[in-house]
Amino acid sequence: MRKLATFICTLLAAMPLIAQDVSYPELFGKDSTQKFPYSMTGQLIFTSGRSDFQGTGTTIYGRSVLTAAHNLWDAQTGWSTNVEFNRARYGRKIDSQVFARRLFVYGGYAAPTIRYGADSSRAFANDLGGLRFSSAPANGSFAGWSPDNTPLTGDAYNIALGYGADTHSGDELLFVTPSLNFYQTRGAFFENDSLTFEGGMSGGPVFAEVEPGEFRVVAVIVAGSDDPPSGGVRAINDGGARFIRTYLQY
Amino acid sequence: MKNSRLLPIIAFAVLIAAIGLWLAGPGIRGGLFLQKNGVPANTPPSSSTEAPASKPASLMLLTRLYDKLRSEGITPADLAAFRRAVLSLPPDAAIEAIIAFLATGKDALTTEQFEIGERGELTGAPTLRILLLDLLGRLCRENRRTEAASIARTLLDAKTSADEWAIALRNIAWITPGERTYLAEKTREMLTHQPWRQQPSAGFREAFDLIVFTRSVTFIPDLAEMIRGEDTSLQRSAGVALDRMAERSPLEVMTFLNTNSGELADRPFLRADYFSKADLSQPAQRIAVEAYLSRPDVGQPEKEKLIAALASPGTFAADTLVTEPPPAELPASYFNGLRQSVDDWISTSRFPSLTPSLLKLRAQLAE
Repeated sequence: MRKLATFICTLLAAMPLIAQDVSYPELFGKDSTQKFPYSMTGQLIFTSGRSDFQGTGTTIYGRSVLTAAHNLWDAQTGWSTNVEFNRARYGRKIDSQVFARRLFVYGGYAAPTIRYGADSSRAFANDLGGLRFSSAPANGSFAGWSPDNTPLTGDAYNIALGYGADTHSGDELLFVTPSLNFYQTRGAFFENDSLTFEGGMSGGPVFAEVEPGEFRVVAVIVAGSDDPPSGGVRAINDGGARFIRTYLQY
Repeated sequence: MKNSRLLPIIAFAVLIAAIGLWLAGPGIRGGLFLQKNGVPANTPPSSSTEAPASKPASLMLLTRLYDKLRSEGITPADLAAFRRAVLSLPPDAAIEAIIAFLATGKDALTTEQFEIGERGELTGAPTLRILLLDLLGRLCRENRRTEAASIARTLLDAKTSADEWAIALRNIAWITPGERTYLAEKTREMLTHQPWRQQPSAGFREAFDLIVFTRSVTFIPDLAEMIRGEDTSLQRSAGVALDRMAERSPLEVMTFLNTNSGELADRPFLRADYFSKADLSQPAQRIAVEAYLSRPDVGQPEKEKLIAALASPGTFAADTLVTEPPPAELPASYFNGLRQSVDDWISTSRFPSLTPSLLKLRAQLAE
């Protein structure tokens, strides 16, 4: 049986006192998981050092997936290997399974690193990461995305998705919707105190309803904390858009 | 002779006029257009006639600029407009004016953070001096001028600030790229300056790109030490620099690591990554990888990491000070060389303990 270590290690195992206005991840349901564009989301399993970890990604072009950089590289163990993408997984049902052929991290020497709490075993770099595959995970379909950050801070409906594995199995897609707007912390890093993320959701998409009925990925889950409750995302800014167009338009 | 003495004064006056317009407010700023002779239209007559004749008046205008930066607060749009104004000046005038400005030694904080955009140009500068050093480098690069390198060399004689050093090193690399030995020497001086290293600024960390640019493998022990250190930000900077250097100079890095077998032995999975950068279609690089895979001091998990990493090469893609972003595509010869090497190693049982890993890699490459 594979050793499964959840990726966001800052989250507490014990259920904290739940503030009234804080949303926690819940099961998204089989039907919703397989509905476009949410069906473009998938579970990532990868090896880093001597352990296997879990994260989330989104099919962003025909043969590429957008995720969080720290799913792909770590300062002590280097590049992740055997990166497996299980699109639209729900329990044992997996729509498609592919292995990455190229890994890209959008981040330089001075990208900010953020450490959450004394129980954090890994630091979070608020960077984007990308995967490329030799075959199309969704037969050429992919989720739309937008470099516009205003849906995060404005009135647009936001929904964050990911394969959380703290209080859930990690094999079913979870969702969480904020009751408050995201706010900009630094650069392209935004936070929201009205939701939390589970370990394993890292790299998952934040979809925003940019037009009625039209959802686009506007950010990627990169950090979370239960105490105090907060979720951190990396928005797709202009630099992120250039990264996607240059390395992931594939 | 007379004209050459007047040039800096005229140049300074042009800059002062631009700054005067910029300081005057959005209404005028929005109407800043250059005439064919390079004099900004809408320039108030008093600015253009009084400034060159009176140095105290010029300094007064600069003082007003400092005051505005320090006390009133500057918006990103203001700074963007200031940049556009300077860059739209005739290059000779702009360069001379910036040099004269920098010579005063005065400085002021902006509201920006040190941030790099496309082609290594700053999109954010924490101080006015850094902003002007950036503009000077850009102007000299575009116009094949050398003043930015001369100013940078003078600046590097003293430990002013890490962020200024970063831009000075960049400017030298842009203008006189052949000076790699000097750049490596100064980069090492910068990275070992304890006050800067203990509280590394963004510019300090971005200067790691000079290590990649100089291709000097003598930095590897220093970078390895930083990776082992407690400063998370330096761990990352050093790790990214090592990875990018291995990608740009794979043979040099692999040769160093094979020759210095203890280096990075405590970070086996990182060391494996640097060998995974090899282009196995190149005979010398293939020999270096084979030497590594034959080493008895390298553990099985590390060798397996290398084989696994060859299946999905990883690359950092970001805007950096000096080096170019990596290409999006690897050449077909890279994959042909990889397939050929894997086939050879399997068919000749060159690395028997790695056969399962190699068979898995071959299957992945066939997909």
